[in-house]
Amino acid sequence: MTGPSTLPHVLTGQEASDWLGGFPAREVHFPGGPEELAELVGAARADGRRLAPAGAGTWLDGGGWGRPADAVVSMRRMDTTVHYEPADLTLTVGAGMEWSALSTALDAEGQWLPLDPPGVTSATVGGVVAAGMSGSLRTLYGAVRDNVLGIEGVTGEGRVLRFGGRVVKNVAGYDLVRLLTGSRGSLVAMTAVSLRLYPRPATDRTLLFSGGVPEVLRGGAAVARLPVMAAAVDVDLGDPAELIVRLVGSEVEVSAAAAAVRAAPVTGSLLESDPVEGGESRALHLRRTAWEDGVPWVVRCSALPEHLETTVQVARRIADAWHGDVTAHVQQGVVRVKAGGTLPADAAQDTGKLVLEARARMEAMEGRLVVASAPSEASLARSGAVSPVVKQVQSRLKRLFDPDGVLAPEAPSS
Amino acid sequence: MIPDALHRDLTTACGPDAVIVDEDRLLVYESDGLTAHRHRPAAVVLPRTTEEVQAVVRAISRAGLPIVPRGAGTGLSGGAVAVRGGVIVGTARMNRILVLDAVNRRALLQPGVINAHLSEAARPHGLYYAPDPSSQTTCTIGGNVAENSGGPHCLKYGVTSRYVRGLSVVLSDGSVVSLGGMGREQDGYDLLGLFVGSEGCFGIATEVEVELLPIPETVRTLLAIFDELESAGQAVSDIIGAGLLPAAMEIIDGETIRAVEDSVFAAGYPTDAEAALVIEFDGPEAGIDDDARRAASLCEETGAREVRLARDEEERLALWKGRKKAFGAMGRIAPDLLVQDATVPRTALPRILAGIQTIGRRYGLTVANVFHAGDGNLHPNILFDRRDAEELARVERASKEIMELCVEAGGTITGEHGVGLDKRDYMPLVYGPDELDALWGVRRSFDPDGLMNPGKVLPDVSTAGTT
Amino acid sequence: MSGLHGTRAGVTSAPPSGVLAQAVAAQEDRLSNCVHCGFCLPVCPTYVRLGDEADSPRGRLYLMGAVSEGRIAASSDAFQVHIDRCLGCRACEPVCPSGVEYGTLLEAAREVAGQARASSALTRALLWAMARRWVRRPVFTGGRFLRATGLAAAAASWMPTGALSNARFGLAMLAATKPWRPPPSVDDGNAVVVDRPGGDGERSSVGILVGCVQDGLFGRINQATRRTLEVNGYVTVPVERQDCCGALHAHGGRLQEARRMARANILAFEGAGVDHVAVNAAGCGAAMKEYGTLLEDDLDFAARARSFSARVKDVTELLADRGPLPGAPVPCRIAYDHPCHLLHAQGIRNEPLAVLGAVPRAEVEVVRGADECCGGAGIYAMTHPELGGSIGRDKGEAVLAAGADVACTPNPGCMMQIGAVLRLEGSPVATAHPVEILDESYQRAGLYGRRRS
Repeated sequence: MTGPSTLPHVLTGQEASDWLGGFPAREVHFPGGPEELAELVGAARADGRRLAPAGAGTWLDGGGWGRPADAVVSMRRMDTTVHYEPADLTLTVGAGMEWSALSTALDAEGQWLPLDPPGVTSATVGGVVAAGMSGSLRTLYGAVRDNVLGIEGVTGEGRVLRFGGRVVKNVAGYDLVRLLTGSRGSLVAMTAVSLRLYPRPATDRTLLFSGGVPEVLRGGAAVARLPVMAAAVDVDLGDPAELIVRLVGSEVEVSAAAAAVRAAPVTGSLLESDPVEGGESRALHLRRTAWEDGVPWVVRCSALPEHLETTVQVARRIADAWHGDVTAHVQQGVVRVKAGGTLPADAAQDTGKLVLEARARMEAMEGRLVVASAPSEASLARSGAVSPVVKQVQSRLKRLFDPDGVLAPEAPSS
Repeated sequence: MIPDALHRDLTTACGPDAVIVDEDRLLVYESDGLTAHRHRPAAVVLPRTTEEVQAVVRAISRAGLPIVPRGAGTGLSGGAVAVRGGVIVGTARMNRILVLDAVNRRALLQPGVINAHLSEAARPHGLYYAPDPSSQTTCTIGGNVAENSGGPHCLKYGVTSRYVRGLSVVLSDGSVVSLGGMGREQDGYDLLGLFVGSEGCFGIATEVEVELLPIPETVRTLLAIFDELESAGQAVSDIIGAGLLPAAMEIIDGETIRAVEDSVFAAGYPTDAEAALVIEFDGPEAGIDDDARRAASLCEETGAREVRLARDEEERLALWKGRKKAFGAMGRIAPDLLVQDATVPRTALPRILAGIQTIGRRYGLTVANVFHAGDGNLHPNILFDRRDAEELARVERASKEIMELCVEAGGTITGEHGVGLDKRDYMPLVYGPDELDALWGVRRSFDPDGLMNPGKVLPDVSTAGTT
Repeated sequence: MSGLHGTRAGVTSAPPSGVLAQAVAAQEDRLSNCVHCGFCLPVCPTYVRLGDEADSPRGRLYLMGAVSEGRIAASSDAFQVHIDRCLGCRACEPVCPSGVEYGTLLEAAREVAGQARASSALTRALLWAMARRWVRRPVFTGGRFLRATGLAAAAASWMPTGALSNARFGLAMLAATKPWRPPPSVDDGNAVVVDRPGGDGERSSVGILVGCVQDGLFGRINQATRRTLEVNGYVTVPVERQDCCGALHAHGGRLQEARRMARANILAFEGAGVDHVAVNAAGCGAAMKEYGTLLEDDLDFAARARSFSARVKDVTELLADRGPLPGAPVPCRIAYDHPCHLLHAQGIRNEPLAVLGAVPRAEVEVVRGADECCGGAGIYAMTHPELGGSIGRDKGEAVLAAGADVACTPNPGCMMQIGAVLRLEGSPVATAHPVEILDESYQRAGLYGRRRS
């Protein structure tokens, strides 16, 4: 991938497709700022063409909100730091800034953005906000949408809008920042975002335990119920299964928490390997956030944390059929399944039925099953049924920001 | 006065004792926590269940009258006032905790449950509800959802929207929608997050699911006394800059200190000081004393003349007393006061505080400041007497200048009180015509006929874009 | 424009309209302290149950302001009904950040309301009787007869509900004034006879308010008050010509009558020259501690009333101040409930518990929700049977949940209310004043000389 300084204003044909890692697109535009983007949108609107907003192109094919687009607009050239005053613990950057570059820059100031959504290793800041997904850190630091303070973007009518700001408390007007976070470019193409930062904890330590699946799950549940707030309580359901507990804070605080975790019921019966520390701990979790990157099949099952064992059962049925892997965020009751490119022949035929059955089981527990990624030919419904009223509000919102459908992503569940 | 048919429908829905139409009785509903705005509703109805709210909303909708939701009426922006008439739908009788689920650390509530009652009910399970607006002993969860309420401890824990995990909402057409839900991964637009803070303009929340947190193991509270207000602001900035994350940091300025010490709520703050800074850390016992010591020495470095650490719960409450009672105490030293709610970036605090003092001096007004310093959320209180028309005019000009100063510094006009009726016409300070249009559009997406809490938050379309 | 945050609850500088409004308007300084914050809502028993702003302290203050401004008439239903419906428990006062003197304002409002429209015949009859010694004496004698013969208890249990439920409740209240007999202690025989403390230290003199209901139905509490005070080193002095304290009249807005009784009491106690005025009924104590306010416009009495009020003490304050001296065991389980006029009006929370703490083997549990009114509120239980009944039933449940032998609360009205509720629920749990239990403990300890056989 070419860096922003050398990026042209547009790539076409094979070059476009290559830049997007093989995603079929005839053109990729690289506007340098919101006004330029607004012009592109205006022109597309006049010509009846559809644009797919993107950053690095990480989520272009996933998600099932998309419609075929005539061109991709990447924000990659908008990658400057607009405003950064470390003592404010807030930051405003162009949407096209690479997440990894931002993390490195914050590191130098002893700060971090405690968000670990899937895809961050390759994505841009705008991409992460537009996708709005969360990972393990959510329990301690909140979801992506809890940490976005302001958004600038261009609507399907080519208007440049700015909502929120760079202060941590702001109730002036409705919370459109939350609406736009996770809207996947269907309402506005994001050009800049303001985020809330945190001091990077002095100690970052991950405890690792292994054992049989039931013991590890019970151990995870026990740790999650401690008064100690862990930054992550994850379970990988391999053989053996692994319990991963991340603790952050000052050294004394983390040591005390580690003692509490080890003293929790069940964890004592698990086999503990050496904890990992500092940069190593961060690297471990960065690898884990990349767990589903580039994987064609991803399903997330979620229910109340107390139903974790059942949720794991549901997920494992899919994983068994697909020869896939399962990982769980214990504190949130979220279990993820991924599988490689080609499913086993028998599984491929029954995929629709398998997913529907699993979804029915999840919904029976007031839970949910989302097909986060699947090859389009599988034609799986991304999510379960949505109430007609919600559907109506969602499509009104889409029409409001993008009356002519210039922005390719559809309203969800339409 | 409401049409007979509507009166009948409301009575059928909720029973005669839940419907108030007597003009004299309605007088008590003409304002909320902010008495500057007074508009008598045509009726008040007090439903008990989601079904009753649905029936009530349908009936009012059919009559084409405004629907004005109201919780405890403690808001400070005139949000629960029937400015265009219509019917107030009060949630005071919807005060049951439906589910308290310790295993999943959540609770399901009717909107009329009082914020502090939830934490009390959760305490035996070792849990509590984090957002703590200063009115938490009386304000309701439904009101918190409407205003996206903050509070002193939001510095560390974040505001209401972080803790609201699910909602049942009645829209103006009487339909009920369920938004979010713990255990249901979001997919699609975050309508839940959008609804929180919508100030009753989108619908009425009739069930609220919130996340609870484990009660912190321990607490340390410090009080630092300063001779300069700006130094206190600087100390706040330095503490955050040093990587410390206190649960709360609150500043009480000299004017306020003297008001509090003159009242029966005297907290023992020195009256010749220009600022008192309350800093609170919470969390595990391990390491908390180090944090408190570091904060204390940072205060000393920025010029604190005295730093006290509360040794026990009694002393802790005493340190907080001056902060918590400040508002009531100020009510006694001036016949009227105007409370603002602007937020600025933390590092701008010293400069803005000085600027506010300058504006106050220029207009010959006393401005007393008591605020959430850690969040940069200012509450300048301008003291005055409304009977003096000339003074009143100066107050309004000073007030606008203070708001403009904050917005210029990268801040905003309201951090936690909401726009409501009070700051509606200041919205153009922070949003251009396109943004205001979009906000109107979003509102209409939920309430196409404009019946929900009309006259609030957004300036009328005709005035949009004009300052 | 941005609104201005007025600090006045419905009060502007508009002149009051009409003579009736002037009494409220005269209180404008007190009214204007309300900043309309609403902190009083969740502690108000009527607001908690009804959810109507007009039944909250903030709402009532707003209505008072509206009368003062002439926006509504004092005779309007809104003013009459909601001012009347207030229990007067004053739970709103300690939570008020602006220190609004709600109790005083309520009395003024009741006076205005009463002048604008006559109150109910029942209220009038009760207050009329209470204000006259020659009427209340025979009434209470009759009451004691009904109690002693068991007729009150019997009638309360067989009388039908419905039209007569008010009378039934009244009889149950009367039956509930029966003394509690604690079970004998198994180690009673071995009880150490404690020496009566000598006269070391300062022995201050105390005059006891005999009261009206207390005198009529709870003479034993007055006796216990005298005995326990003396054991704890006070010299009790009989005070002649004292009158009813006037609390019920002041609460009912009959301020002239209340002032007459206040003046009588000030004269009587001044004449006796006592250091303290001991009161064993929380409602009376609260009223007497506020004689200074009641008579603030009386040039002859204002200063004397203030100094009188400063000498008024609840009996538990006086006892707690001296320890009090521990007695012999009275093994029992006690459910303690705070009287509103002790806790909210006088700020007394721990002293009664200290009194009970001096009784060995008496286990004390403070009733859940003890900060909330029991619904007795003077004559409220009889004038508002429905709402008072609902509040009373909640209190009854909380008392029973404590699983005690006796419900203990230092106010006759509360004792009667709680006792009646328990009786009608069919519960055997009795009621008592803390000094009665301390008195029993002292009896058993032989502190009164020869032990009672």
